[in-house]
Amino acid sequence: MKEKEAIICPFCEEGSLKRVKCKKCGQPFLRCDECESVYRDSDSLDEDYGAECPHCGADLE
Amino acid sequence: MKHALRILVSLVCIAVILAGDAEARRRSRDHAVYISVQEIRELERSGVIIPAGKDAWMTRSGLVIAGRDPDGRTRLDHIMRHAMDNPRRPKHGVFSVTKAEVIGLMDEAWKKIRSGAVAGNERGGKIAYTVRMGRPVGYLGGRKGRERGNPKLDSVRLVITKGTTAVITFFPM
Repeated sequence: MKEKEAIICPFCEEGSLKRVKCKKCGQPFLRCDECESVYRDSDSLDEDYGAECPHCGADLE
Repeated sequence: MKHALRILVSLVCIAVILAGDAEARRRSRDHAVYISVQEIRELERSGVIIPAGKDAWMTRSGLVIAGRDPDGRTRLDHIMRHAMDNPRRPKHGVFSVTKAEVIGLMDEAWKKIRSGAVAGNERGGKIAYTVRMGRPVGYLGGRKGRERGNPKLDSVRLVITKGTTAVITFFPM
């Protein structure tokens, strides 16, 4: 079975984007395992939400 | 009916046990220690890092290595992941210097950044700097590195929180 290609973070160009769920709203988003950039999904990698959930704005710290 | 219930309970128990094992395996894999307490003490003794609170240190140039990453690693451990290769990662810059020298490189890079010689890339409350060190400081590891024959790297990338000296990550590029 072919391994699914990981998405490399466009900001740090090193980390892989991992799918995680917001503890508050339960919606999934992507987080870089290197620089912790946060993206809504793989189609919107031009906006980094910093330390906030892209869906509900909850603090992810 | 009782028999069916017993089978159902058994299946649920087996599923719980297997899920627990998988979680434990995932945690032990993700929570490997990349710098030991002894190594940290040695870095502190030699003055390479200065303790600045719980899981917090300051480098000689004033960079702050503090807090934990989302996986629960200390920030120092997060950085020291790059002191060794990780073949599971797609891309993984690996330092070819000692752990004390990794901190030294960070200070050297920060001095170049502060001098205004390096432009940063800002996004999401973070700034990423790529600093050419003028000598090989590591190599490209991970799956991509292995495919390419682990080429040498002579730059580093430092990511800090905007408006602070708090390091998010640091690795060879």
